[in-house]
Amino acid sequence: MENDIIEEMTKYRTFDGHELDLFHAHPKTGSKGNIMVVSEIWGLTKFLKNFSKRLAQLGYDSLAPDFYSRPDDRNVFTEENIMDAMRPLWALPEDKRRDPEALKTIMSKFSENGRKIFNSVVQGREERQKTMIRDLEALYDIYSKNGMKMGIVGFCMGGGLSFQVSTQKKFDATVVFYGASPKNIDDIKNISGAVLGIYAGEDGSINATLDQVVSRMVQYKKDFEMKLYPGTYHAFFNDTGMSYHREASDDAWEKVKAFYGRYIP
Amino acid sequence: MSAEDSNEGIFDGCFYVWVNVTEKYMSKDEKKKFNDYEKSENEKS
Repeated sequence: MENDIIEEMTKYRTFDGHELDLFHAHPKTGSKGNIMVVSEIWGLTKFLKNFSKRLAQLGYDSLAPDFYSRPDDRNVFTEENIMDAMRPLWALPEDKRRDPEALKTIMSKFSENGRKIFNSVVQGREERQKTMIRDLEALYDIYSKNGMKMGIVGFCMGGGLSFQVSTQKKFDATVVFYGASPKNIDDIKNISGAVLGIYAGEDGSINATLDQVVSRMVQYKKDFEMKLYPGTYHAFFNDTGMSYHREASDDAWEKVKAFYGRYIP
Repeated sequence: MSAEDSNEGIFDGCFYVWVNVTEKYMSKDEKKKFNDYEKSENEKS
């Protein structure tokens, strides 16, 4: 099957004039439609590229942007540096990790790039979220022009971004893997296509608003399906990560294939 | 809790989710990255 697709690193011009890296995998001939693939906080990883290739093998143009490919971010937001930004926080109890006073006690433990990332999380979070959403809107605007059906799928951070962007652009099919619900939950009324939500059973903060998601999906009569996998943890679908759960992951993949097959045939 | 009640955004929210995930799985392997792990290593455990 690998021979049936083409994979390439390319670029696209986003809203602020920067060119972002884009992993584009697609069938050699023909395409059923475009599916945007939105990353975990770790960025454009091997996992994300492999997932994009699996979609391409199903006949889709899969488009995975690298949010961290602006010049100021490229060498800062690496997997290793993001991990460096997380590691010092383990020294604090979970309920103290957002406490400014408690954070002062561990600031010396951050690497230089880890501190830059952590500062971005604490001080620059709103701006960065807006930027990523506008990056996705820009990608949508470019690829929806060809008249093909549009899908989106995202994981964790990318799941939250996909959910939010699906309230702002007209996607035919949205898949959310354990992502945050839209901040304004009533934005759900603006979703135009179908939504498939996939969640881990043991994922407290992500799942805390799922009751509201279900409620609004019913209230606004949306085409919505959801699967929660008991006994699994956040990122269970990531087969390069330690919370990978093979049975749940295999089942979720079958659901994703069927879902896109139905809405982007 | 409603989504609006939370002060958390998507970026910082996911960062803190991952702090918990990496702590759960990585605290004894501090030099590894989360995504270093391949299927085979998962399946061994």
